[in-house]
Amino acid sequence: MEVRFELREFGTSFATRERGAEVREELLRRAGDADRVVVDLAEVQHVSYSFADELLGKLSAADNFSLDLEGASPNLDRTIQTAISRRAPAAVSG
Amino acid sequence: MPSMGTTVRLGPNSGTGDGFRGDFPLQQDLDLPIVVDAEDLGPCHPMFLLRLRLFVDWHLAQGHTVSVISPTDPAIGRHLAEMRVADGLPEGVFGQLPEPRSDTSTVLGVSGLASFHDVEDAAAHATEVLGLRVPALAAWGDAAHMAISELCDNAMEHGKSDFGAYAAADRVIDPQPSFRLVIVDLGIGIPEHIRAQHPEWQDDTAAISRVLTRGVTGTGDPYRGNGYSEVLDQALGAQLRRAMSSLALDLRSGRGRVGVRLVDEAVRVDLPPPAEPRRGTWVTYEVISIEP
Repeated sequence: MEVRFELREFGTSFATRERGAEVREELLRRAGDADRVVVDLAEVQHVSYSFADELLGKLSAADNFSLDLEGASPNLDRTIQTAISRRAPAAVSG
Repeated sequence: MPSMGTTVRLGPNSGTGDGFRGDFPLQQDLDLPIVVDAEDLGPCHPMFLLRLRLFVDWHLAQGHTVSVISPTDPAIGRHLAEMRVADGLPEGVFGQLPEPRSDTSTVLGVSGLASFHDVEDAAAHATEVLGLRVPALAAWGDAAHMAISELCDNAMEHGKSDFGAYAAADRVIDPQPSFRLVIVDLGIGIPEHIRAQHPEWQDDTAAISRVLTRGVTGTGDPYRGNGYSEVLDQALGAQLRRAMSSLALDLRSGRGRVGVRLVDEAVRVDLPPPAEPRRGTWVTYEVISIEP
């Protein structure tokens, strides 16, 4: 089963580790038993490194499901891939 | 014998320079009432305005009587109003200030940060205003967002102060367009935070300089400690897009002080001599456009 998670539902500018943890908890709740989760980053303008690490870095390092990213702008993608690569190299496609 | 009180007099140059001028002692044993005499105050760096507001808030929180006499120069008074220095204070603490103008140098008024929502709002607002009011530095939008986010996040999380954190930012047009962001917390400070994991780094300046390196953190989580590196990486990226601009980052905490400059697309770190001990962490992030 695949679950899509549109980050813009929570805002377009994300700034803190605490916020990342909050959104991660909500994503995990919605994902349930899904084996694939797609995070849609369309319309998201900014994410801080700490937010990206707390949300996507930690998810990519866990074994709950496969994680795919879509719609990230180049700068957003660079920040997210840096966070992910530090926790789980090659864990995510996007 | 009745107390004579304490008067902090501010002169025309108190608010300028590196933003650390002005004697604002945070201590319990000041004679009360406390009066900040800002009648002769001149132009103000945002760091000075944060110190002023922090001084007032801290003493009010201790139950002290404190008041501020407003500047007589209407332009200075208006700037204080536009930077929202007196917003939210009890009536009578701050003297009358002129009405703010709509076209101001304010990028982010003096803001108390008590939650992650406050940080997100401040980062989004300042980034938007920077793009609108300082077109010469529009390429720094992503870098500014990262700086506000990471530095405020640090101040809130690692500062561990009941007082939260404060931030402010303004723009300067002359002689060169620039953006000045300042962030302060009264928490344990960077050196003590880092020494939770690295007790061997006893020199405060050395401890502060280590946080610029990836993976150095006081949390014990090996995947953390990347905030400052990301702030500098984003700044280097902005400088590549906008070559005629530069960053000066100043970190002060405990007795330590570290200056960071971007020179020829590389990071240069300056380690000045030890300073007077300072509670909490005081950060100045200044972007300067070298051409108009």
